[in-house]
Amino acid sequence: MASSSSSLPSPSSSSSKKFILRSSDGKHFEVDEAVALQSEMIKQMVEDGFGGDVIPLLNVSSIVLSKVIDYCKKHVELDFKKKMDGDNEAHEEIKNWDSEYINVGVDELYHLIMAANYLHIKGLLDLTCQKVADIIKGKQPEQIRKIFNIENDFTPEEEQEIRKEHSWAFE
Amino acid sequence: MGAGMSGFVISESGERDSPVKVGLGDIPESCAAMVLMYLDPPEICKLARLNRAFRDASSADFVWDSKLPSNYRYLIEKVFDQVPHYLSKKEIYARLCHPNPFDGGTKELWLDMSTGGTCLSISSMALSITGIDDRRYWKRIPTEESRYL
Repeated sequence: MASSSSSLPSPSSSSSKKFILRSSDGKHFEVDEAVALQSEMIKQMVEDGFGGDVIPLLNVSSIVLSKVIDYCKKHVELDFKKKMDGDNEAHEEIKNWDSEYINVGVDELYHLIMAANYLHIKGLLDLTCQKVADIIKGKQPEQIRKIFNIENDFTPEEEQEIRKEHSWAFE
Repeated sequence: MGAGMSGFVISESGERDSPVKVGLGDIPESCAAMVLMYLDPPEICKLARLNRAFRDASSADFVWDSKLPSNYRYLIEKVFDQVPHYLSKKEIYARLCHPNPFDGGTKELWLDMSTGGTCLSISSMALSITGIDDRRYWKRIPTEESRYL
């Protein structure tokens, strides 16, 4: 079942409203309204009467933004497909696409979480947080710090205190 | 929201060219809490040791709300004299995951941390058994091996 986006009927006609998003490094991205509105933050801006031509996204670089737009485009397309083909088939396709999409390194994962959080894209935030949880599962804090380059900002006394406080979970 | 986010571009070589070294340890507490929601309670408690953001996230009520059974209020009313308002959801969970005696110490309930299920143990003293008082048929033998003495 090869289904590229071009073989599908477009969820929105070419005459639909376009938005221009500007990344922190000044690049412009033209997207369909439906794609932009995947972001609750942009949706809120529009509802609040933001009338400008270009939406500046000061916290998202062009590399990250283009990856985020990929996610939003695909999900608009898949939501449309879900309405047409029914839930089951689309559900499977979303799952496969998401797992392929989120197969990224820890640096990229960090930037995607920050962007999803800033732009308020719930689906993407869930996906990225779940991915971090999957990586973390079953590992010791020391290993996790190494993988994610996390600094241990506790004093030995504080760490001991935290261990004591949570001993109930390991009995 | 988005505080502390830098706008730099990820370089081909990864983090080497970044002006400031940032990583998953720097995600906001609310995001750390969302990560924790996908993990089980022992795992959440272990991650409290990761750094301050994760420690604070590991105490968030909404994380533990998702781990408590939906009828947890009923359960704590059973085992505590009154619903303790001063406890956080995490403290409630910690209390409920040990065997809590109730009904005059003839029953115990606790939460299983790995499955999230509620477990119940009932002493023979709490059962109504036909002819229980008839010594010809039934005799209660106390044993050290029982949790109910």
